[in-house]
This record gives sequence, structure tokens and C-alpha cells, in this order.
Amino acid sequence: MNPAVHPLLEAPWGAIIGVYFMLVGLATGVTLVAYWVYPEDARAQVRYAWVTTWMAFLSLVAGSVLLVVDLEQPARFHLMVASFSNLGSPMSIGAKLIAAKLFLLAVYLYLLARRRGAVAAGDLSLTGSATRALFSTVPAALAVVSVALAVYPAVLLARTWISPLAHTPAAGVLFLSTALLMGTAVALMLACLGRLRADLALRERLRDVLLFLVVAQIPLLGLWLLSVDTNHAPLATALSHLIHGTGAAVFWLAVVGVGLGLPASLLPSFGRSRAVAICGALAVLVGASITRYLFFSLS
Amino acid sequence: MARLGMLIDLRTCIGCHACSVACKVEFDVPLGVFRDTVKYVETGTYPQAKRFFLPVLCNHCEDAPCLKACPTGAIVRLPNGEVVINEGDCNVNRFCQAACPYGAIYIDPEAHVAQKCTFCEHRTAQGLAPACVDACPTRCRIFGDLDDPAGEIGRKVRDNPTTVWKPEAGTQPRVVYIDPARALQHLADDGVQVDTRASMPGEPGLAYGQYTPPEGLPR
Repeated sequence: MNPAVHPLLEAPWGAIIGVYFMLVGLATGVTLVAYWVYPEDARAQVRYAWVTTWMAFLSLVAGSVLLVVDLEQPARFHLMVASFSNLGSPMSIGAKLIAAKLFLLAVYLYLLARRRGAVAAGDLSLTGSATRALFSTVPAALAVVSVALAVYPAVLLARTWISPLAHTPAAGVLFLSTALLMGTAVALMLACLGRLRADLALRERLRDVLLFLVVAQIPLLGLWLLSVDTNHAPLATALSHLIHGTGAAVFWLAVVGVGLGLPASLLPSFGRSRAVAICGALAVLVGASITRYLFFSLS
Repeated sequence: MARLGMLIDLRTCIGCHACSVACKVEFDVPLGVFRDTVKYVETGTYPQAKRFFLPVLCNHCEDAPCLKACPTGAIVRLPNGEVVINEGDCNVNRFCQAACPYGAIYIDPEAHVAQKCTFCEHRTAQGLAPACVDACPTRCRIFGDLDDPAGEIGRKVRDNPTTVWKPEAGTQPRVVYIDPARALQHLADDGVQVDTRASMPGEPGLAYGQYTPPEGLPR
């Protein structure tokens, strides 16, 4: 018999949860990259923080809506957030992380809205110790929560039989790296649009970070492969599906070709072109999203 | 406190599904889902074909993955060890289903909550045996305190080599089997099925085709 036969005919979770994991990756990655890479100019900083925070907020709201759709009732999602009886469950922790991040994002958007008003009135300095404290602690807290939220899908899936590819020590690192790839790609696209496009220095820094992450993803994937225990039958089967089975075409074409190869060749040579930067970033976004989906769905 | 468990003697299971039917009746289990069912594997070719019946249910694991997975705390362990679902706390996230290596949990299509075998907690609390145990015509199921050496289940566990389903999962099931033909390890998981590729050599000295059933039972 096939040692990797599933306990149930149909996996309990479907494509909705796979897309949810992609959106969580995007929401966390945008926050993290915006925390570390930002414009020099104070006005541009506020503008950049405003658009990236909205992007993270909307992605997380969309992910939460998908969860509610999957659970069929908003009250069921609320039960997961409000129940503290099993803090050993990764899903319970994940729900609370989502709630915490949504709250912090809302607070930060409120702070940024006030700051935008002040900047528009010509006040570029942060006045008041409380304001300064909030502007330093809220983004830091958001970054901390985002790291946990980026990795939590790997912890969650490692407890299931539906995602054997997550049953590896390096899976958490890949979930974090794909979140960073998605976030940096979206930040770069945002930096190419609107009034932010005038900031060439920001665009180049984001492009450099994206290139670094793309190149770093190659040894990370290699290390993840090395961490696969081929004596673990379900994992070995899923890996063979990924490398030369049902998921191979998507993996080699979308993840490796489009997600890594295309941006690695496009971005260094044509980095000043906004169109090329957007294309490269879009390719990274597609590749990293599909990586997360494959880790969720392949078995 | 008793440590309740179940012993299933595969030497005497005849695959009649009386246990499945009794369970369905006891809990009004909807069509298409089971708390307790009988799977089977086949081996050999005519005229040496043989079929083994394997009753399966929730294993009420000592280290229950479903209990650790449930984010709302709906799955709890009773003092006697039975693992049950408090339906009011279930938010149908299906993590328990994804975590259970035995496929023992289903979503009730009518009640819209996760459900599974409870070891008939409502019956055992009154000193009765689970419905499946009462229904078994060959008494291949024995229910009781695994820690009581004088009890029937304790004696049988002591006197016979026993095994569990998927020991590699490390869940420490409280449902143990007497399985000299080693049929359990060949059980594919996805529903009631036939696996003609299985090779069951049996215990050393009991080569396939030479296995002798217990006295009084047909070969």
C-alpha cells in the first residue's frame, strides 16, 4: 500500500486556507520590510509608512475574511480569538496574533493619519514624548508580531498530515523568507507608483534588498531539501511530487523560473526602470506566493 | 481512577459491522460518516485469498493530537481518559481532523460540529459497556480498565501480544489490538478498502496460510 495514504479521503482544508496563508505572508512581509527599509525624507517616510501599513492591513483583513468564509460564521472566528483554554494550539496562537496585528495596524494607521495632517501643515518634527514613544513602539511591536505570524503557518501545518512538506526543521525559515520576499516585492511596486516613485534612492534600496532575498532563497531551498527526512514516507512522497511529480511543473516553472530566475536576471541590469522593477517584483510575488501554497497543498 | 481502553481481537472479528450499526443507532450518526467502522485488507490470490477485518475507531490517545490541536479547547480528556468533544465549543475549524492520523473525526453534516467516538461516555458513566462492545457477536471487543490486572481486558493484554494502529505516530492509543497476522500495518487509510498488494507474513512460525484461529472459530 502507499505509505503516504491520507487518513481521510478529502483534506479538511481547501484552497481558501492556502490563499489565506499567502495573504498572511504578504501582510507580515510588508510590515517587516517597511520597518527596516524606508525613505530618508520625513515626508516620504510618512507617505511610505501610510501605503505599506494600509497594504498590510488590507491583506490581513482579506485573510481574516477568508478564514471567516471558511468557518462560515464570524462568531466562530471570534471564539478562536476569545478562547484561551488551549494556548498550546498553533491555531489558537495564530488567531490571537492576527487580532493583535490588526489592532496594532489600526493604531498605527490612526497615528499616521494624524502625522500626515501635521506634515501637511508643515510640522515635520514629532512633538511630545508620548507621540515619539508611540511612533517607536508600535512599529516595533508590529514587527515582532509579524515575525511570529510569518512563521506560524509552518508550525500549524507541521501538526497535520495534510502538509508533509512542512514537517521539516527548515520549513519555518522558508515561510519567513517567502513572507519577506512577498513583502519586499509589494513594497518595491508601491515605491514605483504614485508620489513615492520620485524617490529613486528608496526604489534602489528596495531593489537591492529584493535581489539579496531572491539570491538567498536559493541556498535556503537547498538547505530545506537537505533537512528532508527521506525515511518519513509522507514527506518523501510529497518531495517527489514537488521535484518530479504532480507539483513539479509549477515548482520549476513558477517558483524557480518565474519567482527566482526571472527577477535575478531582470533586476540587476535594468534596476532603474520602473516597469522592469514592477515586473521583477511581480515575478517574485508570484513565486513566493506559490511556494507557500505548494508547502500547504502538496502531499 | 480507571484508565479506560478497548482491546480488539482481530482473530475473532468476522466483519459483520454489528459494531458500526450499533454505533450509528446509538448516536444517530448521519449517512456517509462513521464513528466506528470495519475496514479490511485482502491478501493472496484465488484459491489462497484471505480477508482480514479491522474495526477502527477513535483511539482515545494518551498523547492525543486532536486535543493539542483544538484552538478553542473543545476537545477535552475526561478523568477516566476518554477524549470527548464539547460540541458547544467547537468552531468547525477542522484542525482536529487535520491532526488526527487515524481519520477518526468527522464533521457532522447536520449538526455542523466535529464529532467522533466517545467510548460511549454516557453509557460507561453508568457502568455499561459501549454500544459496539455490547453488539459484537464474537466478543472480539473488550472494554475496561487497562490498569486493572484482574479485569478481563487486563488479563487478555497480559496474556497476548498486542499492538496499536500506527505506532510510529507516537500517540499512545488506548485501543489495542491482538493482531498475529499483522494486518493492521497494511491497512490503507482512505475509507473501507481492499489492498491486494499487502503481504502479511504473520508471526514467526505462522507463515501465511498456516495461521490457526483460536479454538472453536472457523478457519
